[in-house]
Amino acid sequence: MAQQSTRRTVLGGVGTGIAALAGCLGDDDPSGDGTEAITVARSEASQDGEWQPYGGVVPYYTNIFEPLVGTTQEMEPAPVLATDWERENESTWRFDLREDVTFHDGSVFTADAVVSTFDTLINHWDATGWINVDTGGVTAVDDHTVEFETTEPFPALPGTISHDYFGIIHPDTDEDAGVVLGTGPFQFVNRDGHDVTVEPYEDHWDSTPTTERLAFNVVDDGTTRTTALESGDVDLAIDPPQSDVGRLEDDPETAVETQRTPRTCFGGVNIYKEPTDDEMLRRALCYAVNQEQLVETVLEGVGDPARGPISPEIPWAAHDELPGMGPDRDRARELVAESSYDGETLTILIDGSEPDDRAVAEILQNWFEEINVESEIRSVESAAFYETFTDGEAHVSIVAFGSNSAASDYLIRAVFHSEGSDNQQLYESEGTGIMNLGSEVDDLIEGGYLAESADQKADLYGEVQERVVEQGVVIPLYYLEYTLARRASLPAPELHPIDKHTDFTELERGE
Amino acid sequence: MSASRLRSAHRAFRQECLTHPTILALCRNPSAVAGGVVVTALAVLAIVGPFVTPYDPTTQHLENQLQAPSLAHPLGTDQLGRDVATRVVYGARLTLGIALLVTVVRLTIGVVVGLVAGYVGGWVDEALMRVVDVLLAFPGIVLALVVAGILGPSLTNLVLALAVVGWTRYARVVRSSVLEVRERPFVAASRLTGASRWRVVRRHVLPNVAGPVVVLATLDLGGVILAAAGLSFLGLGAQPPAPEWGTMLATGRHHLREASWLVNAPGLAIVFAVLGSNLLGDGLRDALDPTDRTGDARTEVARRD
Repeated sequence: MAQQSTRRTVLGGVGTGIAALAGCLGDDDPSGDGTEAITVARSEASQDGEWQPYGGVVPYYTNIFEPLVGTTQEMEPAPVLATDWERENESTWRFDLREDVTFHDGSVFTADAVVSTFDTLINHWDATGWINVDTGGVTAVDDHTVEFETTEPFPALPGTISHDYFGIIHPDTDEDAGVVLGTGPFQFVNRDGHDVTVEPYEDHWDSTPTTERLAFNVVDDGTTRTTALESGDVDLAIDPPQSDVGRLEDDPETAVETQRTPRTCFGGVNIYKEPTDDEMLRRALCYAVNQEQLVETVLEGVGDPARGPISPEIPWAAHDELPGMGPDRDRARELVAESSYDGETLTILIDGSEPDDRAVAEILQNWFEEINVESEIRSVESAAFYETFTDGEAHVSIVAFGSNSAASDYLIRAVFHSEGSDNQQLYESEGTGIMNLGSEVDDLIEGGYLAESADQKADLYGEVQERVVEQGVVIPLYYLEYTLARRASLPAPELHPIDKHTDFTELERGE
Repeated sequence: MSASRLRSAHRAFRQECLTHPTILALCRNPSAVAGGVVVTALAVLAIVGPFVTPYDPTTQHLENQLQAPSLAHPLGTDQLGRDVATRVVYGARLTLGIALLVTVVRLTIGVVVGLVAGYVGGWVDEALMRVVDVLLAFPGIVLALVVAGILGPSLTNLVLALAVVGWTRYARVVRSSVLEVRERPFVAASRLTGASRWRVVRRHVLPNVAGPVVVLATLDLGGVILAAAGLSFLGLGAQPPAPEWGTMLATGRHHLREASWLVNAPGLAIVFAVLGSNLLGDGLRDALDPTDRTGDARTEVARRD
């Protein structure tokens, strides 16, 4: 006889189903061995093939791989797998390697692993133009010494190779076989799609993490990361939306930490396109902007008003020496009246996938209107943004850029040098560019790039920053901060200016 | 024409309208009436609303950001302190305008292609229908995304992207109606009397395909509203600060937890617009379909029996 479905049995079934589903979703024990993972929601997903040298694991946050050189809290190079380094001549560097290091499979770390790692990664990332080392440019002198031969004099080499991309990888690492071998404090346990679980490596040369197990879950959407944290599905959420920060701070179950990053958001002005080729108009645009109001309105206070294009987190930033240019709309209107501006509509270019940029552009448009400058917003998708920007199609482009390593020289070179990546195309084809002021600034950048002392570098790069600010090449907006939200029962991890270097080694779940 | 003759002509026209079987059938269908009311209300809102609201849809008041609904701002304010109700009202003008324009462009292209293919026949028909087949082989919204992505984000390109992908259904419907109509005796008779091809199409074929096309256009309207809002949501349509419903949704979702009104207002507007046009379209289809009406009559007779 067929059993009749009553409301109670139906509701009971639905309830059981939901409970079962919740049980599956809340599974903190992927290994099944009883250890509970601290779950971190992050946004970086492993794209097909992109992270193949690292066994398919994004080398951020996880601490599976370690570079030769690390980055201090002050954004300076510091020893990690290399104990010391020395520049032997203009283009040769010698790195002494730590001798007490083993990979996660127990094999000894030697110079051969450094050579094979750099051969693979220079090739994979096409990185010769970045680190100035060709494939084959790294050689083993002995088991614990390597030499780097740079393609040109490059004093910033140690800091440049402190990027997460240059973590040392065991040659047996194989994405297809699920073998991921580094030397870091955490070792790979498993990967489920984009999600990765790691556990402490007991024989780490420095110290063994006290965190029992870490599960990195990829949750693209910021609001969903917040919801997952609030519901207890995850223990930490990296970069929840600013609009959620206040609520997370007020909730006794959650806590929030913020940290300024070496990243700046600014309006990059095309100085070769009419009418922003007029310095008077560019300065007027700068005077129209109220950076403090932007931080309060768009970032909800999570950020700092900018005075220049380089974040004060970077050692040679000239923030303190730069003149503040506003807000002074009367002065801005006077400058507009004195300029050659004749009612043209300026184009403000934004990356459509960045919600903050959209709000910033709308506010800038409003402020420009107040100083009698017409503008329109052009939103393009992420993939097309850079090309549209370097093609010089916009007058003002909202750009956020910063450094993920202890050498930030490439930032100033990329943006303000005539042969930097942002200007190169138009400079070579038409003799112009976007934000390159010309040969004098090029010389200053080259001088800073080759400077042996920090003071000399700061002087030369400082002058570049003063010039680009005074001549309205950039409209400084804000220095970015990142946010890490956690369950209040967890201790706060140690934050680093580079968010990807957050230290998760001492997280123990409290009561 | 004298005033009395004008009045009597108006009376006769009204009488004819009110007793027209299609109008009568439409009025007897509660869903269609509901759909008609919603669509009319939104159209009135789009036309009259901007004259009623005291706010400008794009002027920012940063000191007023994210205010909850109140008497001064019945639907609250957005991140830049703009009145959400005002933006929804102006958005009705923009969104419905886009939807109407796209539908008219689709309809025009589709009717012309369908007429030519159906009436001329032969290799012309074959060629045009293969083009239609190719376009139909792609999912419409994906193709629209590609076109909008290539052309770049703007309102004009949004209309173009949606028009390019949506005319094929009209062409199919019109072609099949033409194939049927052109074989009817009165069309043959008209041809025999020496009527030109254009006259036959205009006087005999077009009026006979108008019904299905109107139904299709009304049903299509909802889909176009949804697609236009979707593309704008993805940043491929209206650009800020335009108060388009999809763009408002895209901006508002970042404040979903703290200011849900930013999403609720444009979201509900889209729901009502799509639902209204779909209900009206369904009602029109039933009213214009003689088979269906016969069916209804039979059912009514059966019920009475």
